[in-house]
Amino acid sequence: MRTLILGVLFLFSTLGNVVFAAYPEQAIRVIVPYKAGGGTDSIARGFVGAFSKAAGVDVVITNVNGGAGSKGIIQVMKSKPDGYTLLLTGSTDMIGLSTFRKMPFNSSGSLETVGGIYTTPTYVLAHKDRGYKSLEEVIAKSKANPGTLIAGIGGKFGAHDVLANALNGYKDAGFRIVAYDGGAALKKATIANEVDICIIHSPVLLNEVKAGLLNVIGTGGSLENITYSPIQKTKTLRDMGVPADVGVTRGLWAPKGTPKDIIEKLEKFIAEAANSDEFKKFGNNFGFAPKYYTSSQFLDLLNLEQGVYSDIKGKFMSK
Amino acid sequence: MLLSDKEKREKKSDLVKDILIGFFFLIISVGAFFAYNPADAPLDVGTDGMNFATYPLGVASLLTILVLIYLITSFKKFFSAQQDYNFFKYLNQSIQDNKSLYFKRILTVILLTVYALILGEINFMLLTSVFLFAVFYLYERRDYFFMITLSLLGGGFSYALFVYFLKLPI
Amino acid sequence: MFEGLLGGFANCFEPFNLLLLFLGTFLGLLVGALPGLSSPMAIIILLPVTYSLEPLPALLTMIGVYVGTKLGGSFSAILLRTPGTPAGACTALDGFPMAEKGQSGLALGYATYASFFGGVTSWIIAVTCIPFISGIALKSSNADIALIAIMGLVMVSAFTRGSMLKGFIGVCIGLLIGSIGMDRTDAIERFTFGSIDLLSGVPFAAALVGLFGFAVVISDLSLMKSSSELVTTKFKIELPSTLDFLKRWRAWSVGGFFGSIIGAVPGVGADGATWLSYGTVKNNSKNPENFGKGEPDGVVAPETANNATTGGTMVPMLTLGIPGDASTAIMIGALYLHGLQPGVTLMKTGAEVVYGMLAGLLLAGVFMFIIAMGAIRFFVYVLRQHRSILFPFVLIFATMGAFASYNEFFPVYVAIFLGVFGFIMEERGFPVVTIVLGVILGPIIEYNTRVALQVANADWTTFIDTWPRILMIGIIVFLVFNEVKQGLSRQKLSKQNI
Repeated sequence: MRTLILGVLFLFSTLGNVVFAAYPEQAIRVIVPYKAGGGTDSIARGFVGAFSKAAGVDVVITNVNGGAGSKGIIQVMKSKPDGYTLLLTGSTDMIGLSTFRKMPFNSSGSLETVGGIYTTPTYVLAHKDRGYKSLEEVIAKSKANPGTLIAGIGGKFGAHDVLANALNGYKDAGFRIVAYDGGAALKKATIANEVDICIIHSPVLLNEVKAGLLNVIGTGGSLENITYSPIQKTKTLRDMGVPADVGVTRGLWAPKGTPKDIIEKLEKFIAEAANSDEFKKFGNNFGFAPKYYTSSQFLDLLNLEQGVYSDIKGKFMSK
Repeated sequence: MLLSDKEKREKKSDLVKDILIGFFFLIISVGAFFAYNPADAPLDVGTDGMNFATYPLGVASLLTILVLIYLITSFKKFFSAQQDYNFFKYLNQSIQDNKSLYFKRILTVILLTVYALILGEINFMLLTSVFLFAVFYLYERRDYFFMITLSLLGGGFSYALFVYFLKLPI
Repeated sequence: MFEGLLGGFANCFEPFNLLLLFLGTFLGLLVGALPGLSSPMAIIILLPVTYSLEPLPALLTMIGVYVGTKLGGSFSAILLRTPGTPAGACTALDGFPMAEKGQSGLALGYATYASFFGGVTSWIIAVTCIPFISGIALKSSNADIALIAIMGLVMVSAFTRGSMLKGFIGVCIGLLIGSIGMDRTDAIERFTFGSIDLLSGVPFAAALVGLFGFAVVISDLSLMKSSSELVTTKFKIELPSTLDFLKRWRAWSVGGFFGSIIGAVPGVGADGATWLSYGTVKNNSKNPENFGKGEPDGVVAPETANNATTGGTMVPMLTLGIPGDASTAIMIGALYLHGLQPGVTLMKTGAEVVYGMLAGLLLAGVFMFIIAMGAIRFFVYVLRQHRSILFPFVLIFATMGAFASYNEFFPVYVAIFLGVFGFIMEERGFPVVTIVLGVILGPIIEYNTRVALQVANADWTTFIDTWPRILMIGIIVFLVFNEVKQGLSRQKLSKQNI
């Protein structure tokens, strides 16, 4: 009887190893905490084809939108840490939520980072009819008449808001910040010339920049990887004396407690997928070359961005 | 106006129900003034001249006024109607008359809630088939062979549609 | 433009593309007819399925689904009173009473004719006036959208069969429910009681499924004993003739006009247009008291408007990269996935696909008409089965529809709660459709009013800055005045009758 029990226990323990060794055996579900059709969702869908090939199993995207992205994050937090449920969202989207709202998670501690796949800075656009050639020009004009010029952003407490407040704080710009309900609404307002400047994640609206309808007048980080050479040397915030890098890196997270060897396998798959020709082609069409971060590099990036957010929040933003 | 006793009773009971629902709405509209989360946020007026509380409190105010008008007119109708009416007697009568309908309604809601609660835990196809059978039975079907066949087919079809085709994470 | 379109049609007539368009439309009709399932849901599934195809066939499939669901949602609205889409809720107001009177074939037939006509009209307007339609999408600022939504809300008396007071109470409750969650402008939580689940508000699909799915089932259980009025051993389904439909020119011209124009306004399109059409046709009808009791014009107007929005949503999507609704937003994502760049340059860089899609939009309408006309008998047969068989399936589909909105179970509980709530309200004479109207339009009104004022620096005169806005305010004032007058005269009449 004892032998039998020991035998069964041995079998189960080896089976456990067999299970891990065989990962992945079934479809992997990637949760995107935004509606289908948005920026993060489009990047995710562009990525999963390559990811699926690298992993050798189906990868399915599930949109769990709501709570400005928090519902999807919480759903992944509560999922089994077996490597079959992952989160794909933007670094600063996660940080924004945990910095500015009471959330049951924080960006660096509540989930395991797996890796980053697509980094883009937040840039500042203006309609050509406004005639602005540079961000300094707009800031000077706004300083002269504070509260008259409108800075459109895609939503409160996100990366756009941080950049706008950095300008108002460090440069005393005096912009009137108007928060639109998401990237699509801000896009429309910008094309319709309803705002003086538009603060949005690159490479959204790149098409319109290429067509000459909009001008890129500033950026929160280097644009050297954007697929449109005339704007690659745009002055960054740092060049202007604002000590902040603002952008977003889309990456993947797994629930806390996911075994190390599964994370390592995932890192391998994601590295392969992020560097694949397929994703590069998608990235270039979207407007920005992909960039891969390992899980620890991604975590470092998150901590850095968290520092920027907390700093600007503490100095310039109301509750 | 010549109404029968039953009609008078029903008219009065309708008014009682109207008054009850009126009070329910009043609780909602007045409750809104407390539940809009004043503690958590500054009431700074934004650059639009409004803040986060302007719109819901405006609606709540309008709703309060409308509900008060509704309650007043209902009360007026109630008191001007015939006096011989006993609410509890009516309630008992109504339950007796419509026992099976009330039972069906309440149990539909219960079955639905239980279905939703355990949906993630048990096999979808099995649970859906069992649910279908239970509801067929509740709705007084007794053709068991047909019920079982349709339940199994329904469970299978639902699985194919929602889990396989639409890839819902059940 | 003309050559481009001809080329587009030529591409569409390739057998494979034609087949996919047909299948997509068929799928759309089915998906729309099932209560709880919606067009965005089906289109999202098609994204990975069509990934390996060329761009045009992939997008044609999606367009087929998009057009098909617009009519499909009305089938379940008419036959079961459980609309698949908010726009279908309007059709149910008169469609379902018609079905109850044994005129289900007529109702479905009118809906099919109207949808086809609406689709064709908006297509013609869209392709001949692309700059005009794009202009509407671009120039309609937040103030305009807010005013359109207020107009829709004020039409509420069109839906209250009796007490105007109850109608307005229902709308206010809907407005309050719609304000639950994070405020879109300041990102502050309201009425959430600390719940994370309510942060993004009451899930809209859950509200629809609860108020129109569960509430209807709970309520119509009382009809279970009586066999369906539609059932006779042998019966002939009467379909309307083309002439019958053409005679109702007032209804379809208003619907077509509103749908084509308002459809181009992003965010408020289909829902606003259907209700505005219904309300306008009712208010100007010779016998408004027939509306809500089975008046065919009450089916023709919203159905025409519903499909007439397709041209209006597609053109800004293709010419500006601005989505008009959730389905077109997903199609924009699909364009990226297929290596195209939606935006102002798409008409040049992706001309073949753009013209192919425009041609496909018209052909999808034709397929929709053919399939629907052929399928009416089938649908009537299936949906006239005894309620004890249908209702359990409605419950399942509605539950899954609510689940699929956020891929979690919270919306299902909300739907059940709202189902009970909606049932109680309907029993007491508060039309549930007013709550839905409030839930949909409330957030649109608040968000757009606030952003409009922020952009105008709290200057309320922005609402009378342009002549369309002045016109809309004039209409709103007239409507309110009219409704109060009608309400008072109704009250006087009922007092006199006692």
